[in-house]
Amino acid sequence: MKAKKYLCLPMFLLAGLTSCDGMLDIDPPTDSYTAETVYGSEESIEALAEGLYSANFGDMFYLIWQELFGGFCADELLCRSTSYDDFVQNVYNPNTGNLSSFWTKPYSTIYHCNDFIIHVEPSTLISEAKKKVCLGEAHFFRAYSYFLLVNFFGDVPLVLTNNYEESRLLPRTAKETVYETIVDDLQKAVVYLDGSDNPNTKVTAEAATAMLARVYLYIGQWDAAAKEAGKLIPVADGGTGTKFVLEDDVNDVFLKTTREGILNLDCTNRNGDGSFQKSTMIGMFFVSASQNPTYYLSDELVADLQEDPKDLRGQNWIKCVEKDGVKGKYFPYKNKYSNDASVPSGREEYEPFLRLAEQYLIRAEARVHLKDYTGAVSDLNRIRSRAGVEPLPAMTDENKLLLAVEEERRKELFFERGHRWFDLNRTGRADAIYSKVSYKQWVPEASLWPIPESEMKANRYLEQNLGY
Amino acid sequence: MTKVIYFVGSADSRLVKKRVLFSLLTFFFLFAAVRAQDLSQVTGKVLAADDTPVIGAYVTVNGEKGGAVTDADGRFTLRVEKEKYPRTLVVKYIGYKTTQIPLYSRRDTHGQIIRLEEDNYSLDDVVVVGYGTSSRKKLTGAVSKVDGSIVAQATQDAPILALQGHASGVYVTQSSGVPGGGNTSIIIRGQNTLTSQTEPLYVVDGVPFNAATQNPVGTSSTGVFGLPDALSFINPSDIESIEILKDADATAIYGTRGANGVVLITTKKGESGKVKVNASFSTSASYVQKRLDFLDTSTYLEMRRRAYESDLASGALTTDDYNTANFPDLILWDDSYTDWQDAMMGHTAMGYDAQLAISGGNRNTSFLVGGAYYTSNTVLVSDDQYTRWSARANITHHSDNNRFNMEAGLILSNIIMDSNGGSSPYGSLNTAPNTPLFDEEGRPYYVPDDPDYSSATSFLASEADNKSVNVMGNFSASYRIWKTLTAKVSLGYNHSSSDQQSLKKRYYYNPYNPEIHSEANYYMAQTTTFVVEPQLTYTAGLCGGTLSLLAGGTYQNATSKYLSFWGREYLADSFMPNVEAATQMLSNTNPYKQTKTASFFARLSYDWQSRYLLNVVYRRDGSSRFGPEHRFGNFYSVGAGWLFGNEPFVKERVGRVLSHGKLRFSYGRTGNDGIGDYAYMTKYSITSFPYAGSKGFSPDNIANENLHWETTNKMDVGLEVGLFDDRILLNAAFFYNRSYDLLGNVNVSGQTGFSSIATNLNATVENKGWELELNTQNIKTHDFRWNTNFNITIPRNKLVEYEDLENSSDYTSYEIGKSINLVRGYKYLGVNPDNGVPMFEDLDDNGRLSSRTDYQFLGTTDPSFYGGLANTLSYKNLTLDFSFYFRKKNMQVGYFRHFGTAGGRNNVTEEVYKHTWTTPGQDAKYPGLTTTSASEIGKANAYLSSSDFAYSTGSYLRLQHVTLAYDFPQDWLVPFHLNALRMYVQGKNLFTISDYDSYDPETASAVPVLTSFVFGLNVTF
Repeated sequence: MKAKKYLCLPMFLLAGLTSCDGMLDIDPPTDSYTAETVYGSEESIEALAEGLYSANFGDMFYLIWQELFGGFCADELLCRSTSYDDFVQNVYNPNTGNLSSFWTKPYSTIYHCNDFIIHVEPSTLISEAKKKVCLGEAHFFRAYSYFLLVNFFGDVPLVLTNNYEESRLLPRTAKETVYETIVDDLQKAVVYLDGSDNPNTKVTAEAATAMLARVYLYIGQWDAAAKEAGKLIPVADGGTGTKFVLEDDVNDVFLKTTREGILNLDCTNRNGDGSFQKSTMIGMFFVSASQNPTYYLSDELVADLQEDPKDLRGQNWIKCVEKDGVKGKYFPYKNKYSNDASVPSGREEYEPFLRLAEQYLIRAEARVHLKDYTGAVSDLNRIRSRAGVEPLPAMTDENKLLLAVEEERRKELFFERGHRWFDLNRTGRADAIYSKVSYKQWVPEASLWPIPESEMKANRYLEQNLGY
Repeated sequence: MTKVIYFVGSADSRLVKKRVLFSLLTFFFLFAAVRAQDLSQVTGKVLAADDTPVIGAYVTVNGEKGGAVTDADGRFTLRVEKEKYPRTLVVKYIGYKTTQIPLYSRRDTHGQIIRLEEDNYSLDDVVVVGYGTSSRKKLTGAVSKVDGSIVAQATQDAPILALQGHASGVYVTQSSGVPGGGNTSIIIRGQNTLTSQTEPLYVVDGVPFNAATQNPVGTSSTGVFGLPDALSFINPSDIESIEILKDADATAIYGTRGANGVVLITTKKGESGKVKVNASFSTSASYVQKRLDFLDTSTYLEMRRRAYESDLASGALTTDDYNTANFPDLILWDDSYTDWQDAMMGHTAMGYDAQLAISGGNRNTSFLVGGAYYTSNTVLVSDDQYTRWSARANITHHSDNNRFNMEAGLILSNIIMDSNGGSSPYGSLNTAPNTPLFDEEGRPYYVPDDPDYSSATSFLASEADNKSVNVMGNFSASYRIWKTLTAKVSLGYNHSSSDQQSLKKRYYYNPYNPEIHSEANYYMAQTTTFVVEPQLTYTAGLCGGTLSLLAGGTYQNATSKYLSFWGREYLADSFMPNVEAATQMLSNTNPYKQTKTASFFARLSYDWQSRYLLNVVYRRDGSSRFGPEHRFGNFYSVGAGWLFGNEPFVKERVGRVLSHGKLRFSYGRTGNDGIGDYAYMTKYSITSFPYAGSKGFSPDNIANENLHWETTNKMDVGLEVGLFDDRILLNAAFFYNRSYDLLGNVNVSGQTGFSSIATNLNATVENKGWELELNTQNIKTHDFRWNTNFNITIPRNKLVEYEDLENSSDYTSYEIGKSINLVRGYKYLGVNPDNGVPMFEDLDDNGRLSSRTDYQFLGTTDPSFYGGLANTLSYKNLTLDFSFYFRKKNMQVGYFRHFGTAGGRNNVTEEVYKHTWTTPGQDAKYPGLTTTSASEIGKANAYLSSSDFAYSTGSYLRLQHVTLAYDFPQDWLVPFHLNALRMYVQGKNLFTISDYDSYDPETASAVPVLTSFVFGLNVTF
């Protein structure tokens, strides 16, 4: 029938419509890229590595929160309002968002690094020289992320894959095992970054070495710690390093041009969150014109820094506003290149991430444990002399020496990267110190933060820390 | 036809002339005779029951071509081709029963006076279904229809909100009492999916409109207005009817998007006849009725002092903490009093509405052109304004022989939302009563030198301006190739663009915080959708019944893009709208998204003698949202109906009582593609913040390549009964739906590097329920009428299966066998009388509270049942309409979630303060006074929001509206040349009966539903 013939034609057209898959091809999005694109050329692989920097060093989290929360939890920093009382008094609430970020942000970096390493290691699209540098950077960032996780939370899941099916239900891995991965990563980073021309605002082999020294110290491998630190300490002080030297003036320690900075973070040009342009964290948040700044250093810390009137650090690295003869509360004043101050040229300051002074202190502590008391004292004195303080006499009491190291670390590294909080926890001295602080509700379990409640809900194989 | 033979030069010229004359006369006579046959007419007059002429009624003769339209006097003249008797004259007019008059002889063809009877309630009328229309009585699917007049009566700015309580199976909630409806949500027959979108598919005059992805408004900021009603770009008075397709039979033809139901909107079309002009005006005044009894200043300060003393005594605070950061209300401020409820939302909102529509047409063509304007401000202190300009044009044409039909329409609208406030000031309602609102210079008040203080009036230093333009055009043309075959093509085009500016002036942020200065965000978004749908319909008789076949295809292409950038640190607030005045600028993303769908559908309907009905639908759909292997899906449905009321043996017995009886059943499968575009691809994007001047890439998401459709199988059983000539109409239905392969952004643990992934969950959700609709014409006399419409829905939702729930990241959120809208949390056990600390049930008795072991099932936020009762009473020219809406819902986020307990720097109600624990041994309802989260009470208070303490009841009964209208009688109007004049007053939301412990059980934490008074006028000439 005619009708049938005519009916068939449009039917075929319509059937053709549905089987033509090509009809559903769409333009790709313009704001994101697929794995093929991103791993498909040298420039984009480099950009992906570059992304590690902006995701980590361009982000407030890494720049200020470690100091802030590390400071609250330790005996360094206080806040006028009660908003951070749960950290200041060490009565952590697993439901707070801040706590959650300390877990999710490092893991986000870890994924980025895992994905990167898995794709780039076998890649032939990038030159060997550049590949090494990028991989070195990825290993460094992964190591540092795990370093933060174990020091804040203790045992954490060890994720080395980019496959979420495999990683999502992993239980916590013992701290010691995680540290093995950290060490491994840093060693690889040292090898990969050897000879790279990264400036000290980016990750270099020296930065990896410095980090390695710190990690060896934390896990008690004294010999290795001393050795690594020695690679950075200048020959004049008994090391083999050639690149870095302690600044003589305490006010030069944090300059952009400092010779002490192994990894110095460039905090300018932060157009993304433009307000931080040309300013350090301390300059933005802590320097105050008020006698009662929102965040202020604890009386104990100020007392320690000013105990010795000659200590240049107590005179230059903290400040308070004095009105009518009354001194207000102190705030940190280390790197203070502030937003609205007119800073004399050549005096721009950066954020210290890794600096040489710490290496001296690492080696000092390691040497104490290795029974090289003279060496330990000489390292301590090198720091003390720069700070204008009398050198220590020769000492042989190991405990006293360890206390001296603790004191020196307290004064030199206060309000930097959470050193105080990590130090007292790893040396087991937390209970002794914090239980005596009147404003804290200290219990031994408070050395570790609880796993965030949201993570406990998302992964049933995570065991919560004691006390929560 | 006789040939005229012209004899030239014949012998007898007179004879010739006679012959010629005779031939000519024969010719003309025959011709005249034929013409007389052609000129056969039928004339008459059509009147309504009260003898008024019916203008524009359409008169035809059964089985013959041509038709006539009655004029202003109701008269018609119908030309008919041949003299043929008997024949039937058919007169049709909307609102009246189609009348058939038999014509037996020539005598019947003139002077007929035909009286039309009014059509009884709804059932015989035409219902719009997917790709066609159907007689309501012959529907095999579940379709609810809401007439345009109900929509227009309920609202002037939010058509979806107007459906609340008027259609069974359709659950509508308003989320904020602001113009535009503020995030109206509509869920048809329960929520099928866990986390992906639950919006139904909207089809406006045949053009599909996916509100979730095609509406660029609200993607940035709309201030207090939230996300306006998805259909707010349509003037509600322009709507002819809204049909809601619920079951598989009705929705399967929409394939992938039918799982959540389909809402069909038909706009008014022109009417043939004289040109009619219709104008209407209305004005409204609205305000918030409810007030909570917050404390006055002296009682509040007393409470605060007691709280401080209590904390001091317990050691949670030291005297050092008595500073301006923690206690500005006791130290800095005086004891003046501000009623924050009045200050924040005590205004009366004024609204104005004006409309004009011109329609007309002749036998073949009709048109409608109209425009409307609506504007309203809000009850909030922040001087916000919502304005809509809209215009519409519509033209329909059919050829004389009705073979060619064409329709074209255009809807244009421009919505301007001017919000001088950030968002709902709900959070400011419980501000301490002595808090200063402004500083000496009239800027939002901040405690001096305190960078952490958040001001209760800071939102007044922000503005959000949003202008959006929406253009929707539709065109369809059909041609009847043979009597049985019609070809049709429909084209639809929709373009929405939105231009937004969100300004946060200097004092929006704390001026003592060096972090940011002023900031503004500029945003421009656009979405364009184009759809083409060719169709073929074939109708034929088969085995004594009518067979109807529809086959068609859809091709749709939707693109969207936006550009946004922000500026920081402006020279002064007044420069802010100018982006160049920013000291720093950042351009944000500029994503471009595209979705394509291609489908083939077919429908077979068979009607045997109006007694047995069968409807089979098939659709094959492809969507670009899914990975290349999973793009296509097959959907289908089978529907059957038995009009037992038409069975002879039934008619014989109960025919006088039973005017309509139908039993219907349907089963089918529909889909849902409600996931973002490109979600199946692993993506990387540019990092937000540069480091040392450069940015790079970082991973954006993890993806599931196998992302595919979510499927819902639906079953529906219905019974329809009409009694006493349809004076009582009952429609009862039972539905049972199962959804699986649920689409959504599923939580994953943070150690994966991300917090969620778009994937299909191996889980099954079941939705079932009962629906009942009862329409009665209680009283029907010449002068007085009373109609009632009652509907109720009893839905039940259940999570039937969730593979490996215990190992997923949802294991504390869901429970098999319970609704997916459940609430899990700690069980609140009251206050410890010794120390005022709130207590919670510790299920595993280990002295610690953890979500993993101590969370338990607390209830669901599903409605247990909901429905409406509408009444219309009319006496002569006066009409009274009133309708109720009721809902039973056991859990709604309540007072404590938003306003907290007593002691902190926030006000509480008298009731709360009276029952707050103060002395040991007291059996109090609410936890003791404390000012900090570090005290024992404070630490325990942190668990309150995850417990049932934070919930109250969500059940209520509301008088939705009462409308009194008067239609001026004809004789008053004639001297003014008016056809109709109607005046009305209306009261909306006059009272609400509820036990909810805060403002409004429907809107919870946003502006309550407003009480309004409206006055309006409607004139036709």
